[in-house]
Formats: sequence, structure tokens, C-alpha cells
Amino acid sequence: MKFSVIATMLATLLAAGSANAAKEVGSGPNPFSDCGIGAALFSENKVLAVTSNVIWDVGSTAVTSATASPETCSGKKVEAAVFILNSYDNLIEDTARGEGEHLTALLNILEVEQSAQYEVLKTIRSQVAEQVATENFTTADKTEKSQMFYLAVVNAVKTA
Amino acid sequence: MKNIFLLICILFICKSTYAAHSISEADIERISKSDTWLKLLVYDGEESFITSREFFFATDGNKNPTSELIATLNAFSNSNTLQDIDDHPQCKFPGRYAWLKTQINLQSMSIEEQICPSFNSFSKDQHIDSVSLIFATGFLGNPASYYGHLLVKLNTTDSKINDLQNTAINFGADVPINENMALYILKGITGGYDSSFTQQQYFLHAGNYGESELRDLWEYELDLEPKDIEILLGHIWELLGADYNYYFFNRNCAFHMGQLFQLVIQEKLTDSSRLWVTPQAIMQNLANSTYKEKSLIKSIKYHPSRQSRLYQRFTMLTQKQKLVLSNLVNSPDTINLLSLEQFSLEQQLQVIDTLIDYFQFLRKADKGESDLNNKYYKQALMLRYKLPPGASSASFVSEQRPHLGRKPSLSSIQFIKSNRSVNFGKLQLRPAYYDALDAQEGHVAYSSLSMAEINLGFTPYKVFLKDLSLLKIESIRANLTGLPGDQNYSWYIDVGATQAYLGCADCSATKISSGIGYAFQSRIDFNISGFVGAGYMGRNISSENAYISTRLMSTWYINDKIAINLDKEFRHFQTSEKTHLIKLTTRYAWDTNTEMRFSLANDSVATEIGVSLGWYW
Repeated sequence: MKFSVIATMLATLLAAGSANAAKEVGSGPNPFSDCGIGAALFSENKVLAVTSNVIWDVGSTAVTSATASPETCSGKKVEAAVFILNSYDNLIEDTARGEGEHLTALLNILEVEQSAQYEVLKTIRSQVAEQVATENFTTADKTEKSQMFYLAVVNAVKTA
Repeated sequence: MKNIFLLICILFICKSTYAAHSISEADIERISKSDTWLKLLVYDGEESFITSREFFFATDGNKNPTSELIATLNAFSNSNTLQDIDDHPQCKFPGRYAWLKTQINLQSMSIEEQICPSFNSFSKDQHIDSVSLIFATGFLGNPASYYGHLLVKLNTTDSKINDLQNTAINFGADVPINENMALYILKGITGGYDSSFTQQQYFLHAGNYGESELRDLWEYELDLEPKDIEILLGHIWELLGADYNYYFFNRNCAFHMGQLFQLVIQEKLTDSSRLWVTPQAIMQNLANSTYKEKSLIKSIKYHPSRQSRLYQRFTMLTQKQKLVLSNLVNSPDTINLLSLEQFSLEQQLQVIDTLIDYFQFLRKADKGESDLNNKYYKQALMLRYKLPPGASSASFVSEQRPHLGRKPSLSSIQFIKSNRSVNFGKLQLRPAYYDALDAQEGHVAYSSLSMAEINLGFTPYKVFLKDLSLLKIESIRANLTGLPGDQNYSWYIDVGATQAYLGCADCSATKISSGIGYAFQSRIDFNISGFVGAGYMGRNISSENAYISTRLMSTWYINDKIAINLDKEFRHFQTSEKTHLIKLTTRYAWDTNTEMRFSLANDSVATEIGVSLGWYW
């Protein structure tokens, strides 16, 4: 059975993530630095490997080895990280507006209760505003920025 | 001991074949010949489209639906304990299982229903209650995308799952990365690639089409009954990863998506005898189909691309807002709240959201500081963060629904009066797709796309080739804002054969022409584009037949029914010969699928006036 890069990774790690369902968001490894997502996914031609009628097969081997230790890289966190990497621009714009479908999707992935979303959003917005205002925002690469965004979200969820 | 072992083996074999033996001959005949069974096996006539061996239980399953039925029932009755229950035949072929249990009593055949964790995770656990077919509009930047694309989205009722997280099903060719372009085109056309259905989360596609390729998405949610959704989901699951041969023209995403839905929809969405199938044709057939005596379409949703959102936001601004926006864009270092203080909060949000979309549209993110638009994008974002949260009111709409357009192929008959030769008739066949005058829903306005378009001239005494375009693309960018950097770089290519001069029936020549240029768009219904180009026009291979050219194209969509196009080209050959070709054409649409055209053409040799009647099919 053939899968694209994203489907392979998500299917493998989301399945593994069920063992970690009880762990709190924000505990455990950082999917960017510890699960190797940035290196595995970030490429010139993009993780958006499905273009039009074409399926790009970059090879599942690289993905599997870069995302080792499925017991410690929970499906939920990896799913959130993948989503952020692929939707970063939409996410910081939604955050600027304080609402939007990408932001809602991310909070759903991280299982933030509806009642807590407003406070979480407020915290995320102020932290991300600082990130956008930093000197190197324009020059930092997308994985770096995505990781900073991820950490802001995870911290906001933890403290909510 | 040996005897006990032998007895166990015999019992096992008997159990496995018992299932097939307990079904009547009449049922085998009925089921194996039924439309649904053949569709589940993806048959086309006598053979399946599926090329992967693993899709069939019987060695001749790809050609013998009866032996495949028997082998399937035997496989389903397998009660061996497997290391991974997801490898059980019922779990690998839930579509077949779901349908077969509506046709015969599987329990009486000792076929115990298995619990399939992976399939359940894909289907039941997601609470999928509807299915959408999504049309991505055409894109002239990639040959595979010229005619648009189709996706399936599985929609959940789970309120904790956002639409972006829904599962999307794609069909496409399996092309190696960095494939050579010529090989890509050749193998795509001649069946050189495998293809298959794959699944990803919808956000990947929404980002790719809407943000990277700037293509609108049109989502048609279907009104299917739960039991049909169950069979459809099961069939999608069993197709994931199964291999097909990919043919760009008629065994493409459009054809196989049409085939997929024909499993549960009685009406024909596509036909395997067609030489070409376009995604838009599938949408049109879908919209015209009924299901259980009602419309198949539950709702239609428009998902605008980044570019469409920018243009619509810009169009909705007042003149004052546009002026301020223009000033900010021209002097982006003045992007600050002071420049917006004359506006209400809502109006400020509208201007800033337009600015964000504008710089996002222009910038090259990977260029960092070397592209100043990245810096201005950041400034616009920071401005937004300074204001309170809350979206500006913007509702994005479009009337360009793909199913409303005309049919993809055009035939016409034309009568032409020439001042240099006898009058003649002309028959045109354009298999697909559009030109500047009839580009409509789902097409790129002001542009042209056609392959293998042929025009045959005829008189009472002869038939001759008037024009042949093997490939003709005029990619006209029609960007509306007029803001700096809203690029309108355009290009064209035309390869084939033609009569070297008007009024000539025996001066056929090879034609190759291409050019790059710029389009000017001051209003939504009028475009003028200028090009410089080069080409070749001649009967034999000689450098004397090469030329450089300047060209002007202009199109005016007067209203829904009338459009005018002017095309002027001046050629300077290597021999110093100079020629021109001027064409003025007016199109009148009688109705969606019928038209008349009035044309005037003039070159250095002759003038031709023509009137044609055309119909789309």
C-alpha cells in the first residue's frame, strides 16, 4: 500500500500516539527538535507534495527514520507540528485577527476545550505578536518560526 | 499424530471452501454479473483497470468476476488468527464486504464479521456523514493542472474536528521528483506512470491549491444516504494504494473519480469510450444527476484562493480606502496606524487585511531580507496585532460555478469569403478546452488552452488543412488591483501547422510561435496584452523561415453573451520580409452550448470575412 509522505508519517505516529493519550500537552519531547519533523518535512519543494494530479513519493524510509521513537513523539503533538509547518502563514494571520479556521483546527488538534479557547487565544496572540516583532522574523527559516509558534501554543494551552 | 494433523488440515481447507460451496449457483450468477460487483472490481468491459495483483484473490480475478467472487467469499471466511487483524480480507476489502452482506446471508456461510481497527479509524470513528467532490480551477503553470483537478473530501459531524482536518482523497500519477519535463509529458500521455488513490488531511490540499498555486476550490457536497456512504467509504479504503495505469487524456483523475461515484450513483458520470475526460465535465454531469429522485448536490461552497481573496477585498474597499492603500503600497515605509486614523476600526481592519493579502501574494518567503515585500508583510502583520482581535467583515463570493459552464469540446462550421480565392467552408474540431472569447467558469479569463485543435477548409473540389494547433496556450494574467508588483506577465505558445497566408489553400507550413509580454487590466471586463516573440513558419527547414514578432491581443467581455477579440501580429523574417496578421472576432452565445462568431482577418496577401455556427459537447 502506497502512501504520501504526510499520510505515512501521520498514520504511523498518530497510531503510536494512542499510547501517550494520557500525557499532558507540553510534556515530553518537542516534535520539531526531538521527533525530527523539521528535517524530515522541510524541503525546497515542500511538504505540500501533492500538486495537482501528481503524487510525489519522497520515500517513506527517510520519514520513518527521522521520526523515530514513536513512543515518545505523540501523534497529537506531531500532528500539531505538521499542521503548523504547513499552515504557518495562515496561522499567524488568523492569530493576528484572533480567529480563523486554521487556528480553530490547531486548537482542535490539541484538544483545547471550547470554553478554554478564548483565554488560550489571548495568550497565544500576545506571544506571537512579540515573535513577529522580533528583528530576525523576516530572516528566520520556516521550521524555526513554526517551532516558536508551536511552543507559544503549547505554553498557552498548559497555562490555561 | 500425523493423522490428527492431516484431519485438522482437511477441516481447515473444508472450512475455507465451505463458504463458496454454501452459496447457490443462481446467487453466484446474479452477484458476479451485477453492475455493483463489477464496479467494486473496477471493471471496464472484460477486465479491471486495477493492475496490482494484491487487489484480487483469484489468479484471474482481474478478468473473471465469478472466480473473484468465489475467492472473495472464501477469503472472507478465513478464521485464522492473524498477527494484524487489519490484514484480514474483510478489513482490506470492506467495500466488497459491506455490499455482499446486502446480497446474501454471510453468516449462514459461516463468515463471521471482523472488527477492523484501521478501517474503523478511517470511517466510523470519524463520524463521516457526507462526502464532497471538490473542483480545483485550472492552472496554466503546470501541464498536469491545465484542465483543473478533482478531490474527494470526507466530512465529519464531529464538532471537535475542523473542516481542514477532514480526510481528503486524491487520485494522481506517481511521478518521480525532478522528472524531466519532456519525459513527464510523454509518459503522462502514453501511460508510462502508475497512479492510485491516496489519502491526506484536507489542509494540505487547501494550502497547496489556495495559497501556493492560487487556485480557487469549489466544493460540491453530495446528498448521499448513509448506506451508500458506507459502501463508498469501504470502496475508497480498498482502492487506496491499488495501482492503475495513468493516461492524461482519458484515464485521469476526472475519469476515475467519476467511476468511483458511479458505484453509488445510478446515472453515468463518465464513459470509458471517450477519448478525453475533463474534471469540469464530471462536475457538470454530477450537477445534472439525480439521486433517489432528488438533486444529488446538497450544497456548493466556494473556497477562494489567496489571490481571489485579495481581489475581492480590494474591490470591496471604498475609493478613500483604495487611495490610502495605494499610498501605503507605494510608500510602504509609511505603514502605520496614523495613516489609517481617519477610518473607523472596521475600515482600518479592511485596509490592513487587504495589505496582508497583498504582500503575502507578492512576497517570496524564501528570499528573506532580499525581498522587501517580506519586510512589508511583517509590518502589515504587526499593524494588525496592534489592533484588537476580530475579523474584518468580508464575504467572498463568486458566480463562476464550474458546473454552470458550457461543455468542454467545440465543433463549428464556418463560411468564409476571401478577396483572393474562392469562398470556402471550414470545419473546426476543438476537443478541449477554451479560447479568450469563450473562457468561462473554471477557465482562466482572457486566456486560451487547446490541444489537437483542427480546422479543415473545404470547397466543392478539395479539402485542405486550414490550421492545426497541437498545443496552443495563451496565458494572460488579469490582475485587478493595479498595485505595484501585482504582476501581469503573460506568455503564449502555438505549435502545429497552418496555411502560410490567408486566401491560400496549398501553402501549408509548420508553425511554431511563442512570446512573452505583459497584460494591462484596468477593468474587470477588458484586457489588453502586448508581447514580443519569435517563431517559425515554413514548409521546409530553413533559417529563412524564422522570425521575430510583436503582438497585441485584446479581449472585451461586453456582457454574458457578447465578447470581442482583436489579435494583431507583426512578423519580421530573417529574409527581411515583413508580414502582419490581424484578426477581429466577435462571439455571440445563443445559449450555454451554442454560439455564432463573426470574423475578419487580414494579412499582407488577403482579407477573409467569416461567419460560423458552433456547438459545445
